[in-house]
Amino acid sequence: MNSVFKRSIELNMKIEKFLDVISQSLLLFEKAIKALLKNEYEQFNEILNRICRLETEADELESEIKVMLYKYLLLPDTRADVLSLIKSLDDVIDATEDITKDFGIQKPTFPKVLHDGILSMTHSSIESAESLLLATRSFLNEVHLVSAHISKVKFFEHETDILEDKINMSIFNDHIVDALAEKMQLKYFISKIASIADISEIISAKLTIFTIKREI
Amino acid sequence: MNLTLIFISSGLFLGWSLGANDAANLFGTAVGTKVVKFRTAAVIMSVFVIIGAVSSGSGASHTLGKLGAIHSMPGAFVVALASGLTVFIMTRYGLPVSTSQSIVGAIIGWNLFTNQSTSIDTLTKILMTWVLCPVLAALFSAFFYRIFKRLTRRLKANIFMRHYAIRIGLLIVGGFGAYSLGANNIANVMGVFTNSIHFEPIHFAFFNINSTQILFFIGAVAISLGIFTYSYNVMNTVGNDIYRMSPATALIVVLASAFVLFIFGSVSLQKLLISFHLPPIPLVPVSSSQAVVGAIIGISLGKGDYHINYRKLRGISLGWLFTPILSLLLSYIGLAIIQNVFTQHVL
Repeated sequence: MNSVFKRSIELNMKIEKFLDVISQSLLLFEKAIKALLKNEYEQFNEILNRICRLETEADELESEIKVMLYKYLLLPDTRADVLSLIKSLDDVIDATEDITKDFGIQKPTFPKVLHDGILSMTHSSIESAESLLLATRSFLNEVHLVSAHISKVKFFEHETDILEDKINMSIFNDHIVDALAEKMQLKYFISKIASIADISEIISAKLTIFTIKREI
Repeated sequence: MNLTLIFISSGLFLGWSLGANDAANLFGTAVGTKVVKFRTAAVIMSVFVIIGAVSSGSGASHTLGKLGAIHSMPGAFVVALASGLTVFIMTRYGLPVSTSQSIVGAIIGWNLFTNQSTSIDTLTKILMTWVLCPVLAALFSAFFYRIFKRLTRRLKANIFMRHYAIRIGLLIVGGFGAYSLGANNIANVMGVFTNSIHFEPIHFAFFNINSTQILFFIGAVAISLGIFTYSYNVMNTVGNDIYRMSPATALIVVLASAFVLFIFGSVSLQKLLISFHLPPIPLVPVSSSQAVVGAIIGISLGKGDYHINYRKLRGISLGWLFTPILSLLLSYIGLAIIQNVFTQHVL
């Protein structure tokens, strides 16, 4: 019985570490966008490398968690749900890495007038993902707090959508960008930043079901 | 002995169907959500049903005996068969049914056929217990819900620890439920045979097993057979409420239901109450399914949701009404056939 509890604590700590890694990558993503908007490409590349390293670490942690779940925990229902959640959360850090890489490759130039809006939207998108991480931590330790965090995920996703629409409207109607190709490119990056909040909302819906299954 | 086996077969059939149906109330969620393996659940249930039936089954059986003491084997055979057929017919048409209610109807049918008087006192006691059963289950589960909720928030155990705790809890509570089911419901299965079938007592080093206990042991084995051979199908196919619950909720529901069955079945508890000069609780067979419905309503009350599902309550009430009436009629007709066609004495 002791070993069961010891292993469950070990596993919990490993998942917490996995969440920390995702959280750090999100903070770095926000920093990367700031650096990009200021055209500080050296700093941007340094942040990109850190995000890549964190993504590799998250992948390693994910496979360790998988092994632990299959090796030590004979609880099919909980194992399946936790596994599915971990896999989905890995999509968040994967998306963060992919978007940052794309920014590094294409180096899009946003008109100055959009910078504040882009930073607000990035922050809101990150906040949505951060709330999802908090909801996941609650799911692991205090189920009754999950719904409060999930409502924040939804709130920030909605805020992100509003800001995304505003920025896109400005790109296409305010004559701040000339070429259609450039307009399309900027729209693509705006939707990529917003996609972090979208992914978070999708995962939060899954988490809601996992929570209902465990509520008294 | 061979005739005894033939006559007892109706009781064994009733025991088998009780095991097949009622086991799902105790371990349906645990097995359905794969928290507990079916084989583990079946072994625990079987062991505890047998222990409960042999050690504490006499209380509820005594009350049924007061309602109608059947001294002939053919008479007891028909009464148990009528009860079993009622359960089968009502289940076939998807109507709420309980073996406790069908056996009472069948015994009254025997009383009417043989011109024996039915004790109004005992009948009133039984009817009141049927109403009290879901009400008490609701109160217990509302109380347990509050305690569990407070406890889980205070303990702050992680999800894996919680899962293990719930798993162990479901095993313990399921075992307790099986013990209570055996103690309370064995009277439905074998109660009518206690006056007509007699076995030689068996003497062990530290204890003896009397004739009634041997009979209850045989009945409990039939219940166990029902658990092993058919309850898995019932758990997987019947759309019962208990399957839609989370394991944590099921823990409370099963605990509350088991408590009610225990209260109305435990001879030891009755003795304890008497020793404290408290009024004894009548030992009457009650329905585990109705206790479960009551307990589910109790959880809603515990959550502060006072919208009672009247459809469920109507289902229980219809069960109270139709089950005894149908089994009474079947018992009466069956007794007429066995006496007039097969020329057997039913009195």
